[in-house]
Amino acid sequence: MSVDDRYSLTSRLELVEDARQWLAGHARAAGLDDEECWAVELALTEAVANVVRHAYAGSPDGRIELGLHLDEGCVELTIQDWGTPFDPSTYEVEDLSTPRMGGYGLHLMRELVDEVDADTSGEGTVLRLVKHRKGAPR
Amino acid sequence: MDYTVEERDGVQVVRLVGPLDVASALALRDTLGALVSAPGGRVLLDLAGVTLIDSSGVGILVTAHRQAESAGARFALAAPGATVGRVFELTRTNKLLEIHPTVDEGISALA
Repeated sequence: MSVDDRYSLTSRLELVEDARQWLAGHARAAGLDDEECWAVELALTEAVANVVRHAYAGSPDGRIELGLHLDEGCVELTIQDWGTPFDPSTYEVEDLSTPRMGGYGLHLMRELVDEVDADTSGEGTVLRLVKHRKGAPR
Repeated sequence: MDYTVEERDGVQVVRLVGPLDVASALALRDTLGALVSAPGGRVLLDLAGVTLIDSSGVGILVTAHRQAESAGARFALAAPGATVGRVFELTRTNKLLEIHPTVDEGISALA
């Protein structure tokens, strides 16, 4: 069984919770456990927050399109924006042994899911997050 | 996210309920900043009701820690749930922040 869905929002921080609830509904219905749900919801939160703050520089009118593919093997999320491109592969997280007031978002995303990649070949960025489900063959 | 502030044994206990994330962190930042900037202040953040914390939430806690240090105040956290604690581990802020398993233990440590 697989699920494919899309969700649209504008670049307003107060809408991040709505996006999380959209994902949570699908994740729970598909039988992801609490840890898996938490991981993908938090990864989505970090990704959308980055789009709002960086791709659209805080402007509330930016368009964000979320895509979800969920099957027995994995959860795949795409986060698409039409703002300033950002490729996470070009960003190295600084040494976390030094306490910092920010910059944890990308690190968390990489820890929470199994694959993080971005396509900046068009306008904006399509960020793809993939989390393999527990017990699924790799 | 909602929060309340009450004083117990000279400690300002800030109880949070809901997600501490990019949308709610800024609202807490100013309140927390005012509390931890008071010289000699003792502030305990009760995290039992926090359903999710993201990097923005972690950021304001680190900021509050720094502000408290500068002001000569004490700032600690208490009762983080499993996922909140996990975020502290992943960001290694569990090495920086003072974290107690329960509110009572946190109050005892700060009082």
